[in-house]
Amino acid sequence: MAEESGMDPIHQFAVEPIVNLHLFGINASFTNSALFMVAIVAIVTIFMLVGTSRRSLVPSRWQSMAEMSYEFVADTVQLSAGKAGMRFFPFIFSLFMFVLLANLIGLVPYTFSVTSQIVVTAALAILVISMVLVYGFFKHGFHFLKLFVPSGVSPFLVPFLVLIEVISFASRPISLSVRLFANILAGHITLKVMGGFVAALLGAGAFAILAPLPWIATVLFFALELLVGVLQAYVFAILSCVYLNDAIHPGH
Amino acid sequence: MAQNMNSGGRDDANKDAAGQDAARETPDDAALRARLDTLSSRLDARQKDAGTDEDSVADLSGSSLGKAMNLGFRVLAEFVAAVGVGTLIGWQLDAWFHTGPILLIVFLILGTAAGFLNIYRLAAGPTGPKRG
Repeated sequence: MAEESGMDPIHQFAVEPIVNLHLFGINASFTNSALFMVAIVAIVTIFMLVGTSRRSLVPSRWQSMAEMSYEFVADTVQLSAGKAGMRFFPFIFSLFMFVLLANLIGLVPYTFSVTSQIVVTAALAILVISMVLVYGFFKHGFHFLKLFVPSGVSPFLVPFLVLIEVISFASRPISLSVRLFANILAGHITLKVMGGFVAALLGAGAFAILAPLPWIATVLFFALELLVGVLQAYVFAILSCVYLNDAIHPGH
Repeated sequence: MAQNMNSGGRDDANKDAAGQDAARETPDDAALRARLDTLSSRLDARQKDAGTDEDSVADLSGSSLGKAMNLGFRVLAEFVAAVGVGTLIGWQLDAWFHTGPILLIVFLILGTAAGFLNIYRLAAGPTGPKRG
């Protein structure tokens, strides 16, 4: 079993406590997952602080990277939630940078990919949806419920359509979290399995000739995973904007 | 235009005539032609710019394979999530009201409808910021 653990494609997702901590009967241990989350937040903070420290007219490399990420997210927010959506810009920007960094850091060998845990992605999705609900009710009161009543429908159909709309709304946090989690999980398992093929073929005598094939596949999949990581962070951010847009302008 | 037709149609025989055409041009015509040329070249440059803009927007969501995979995953997640949520609500309501499988079936159908609604919204594209 011990020598197999290197080949086990699921082993990389194990959450292991680094510092054991039990507060009031709750297991609040500092795990490798928590370590990487702290590291991601630290990296994003340092990146933005260094990027905005000089503020020269002709930007340095760091400054232009920070400005590019700012403008990219600002464009995304304005495109899907309008000018009124810019009050959520700090939230969307933090979300985007966290997910992006988590996806990219997870691709470095021997690291832990935080977004491959459904607990993390579900927590992020619940944060987004509860923000939609809280802001919607805070801004519009009970008019927010008009979101669930499509206009211009015959009165007989309204109850069914309201139920359908409610189910559709309730499915949002699930699809939001499952999409990110499943993409990252599937990608990492694929990489690990392909890598395992290389090792297994190299140790299989004459079949070692075939070993470069899965090795090429690993390289190609790695490029694809890079793309998927960036794309999923973008999709997560833009869908959060679309949902927040519903809170800003309820009613169809 | 006239030059093009001449040289394109009967090039060998009418070469002299085409030369005469060009010679007969007044300075006004030459100026007009030059202006037209610059205009068309500027139009070409503009269209090329617009084309590259569209390309960059398309590149934003990745190459075609990544884009297609992303879309497929989104459709799958939206549909399965809606069906799952509908089923769960029906199941729980059945457990609360002891109504057998009736509510489960009703909410399964409603959840499927919600899944199709989700996919329709995905295909129709984000509506963008609404006014009002």
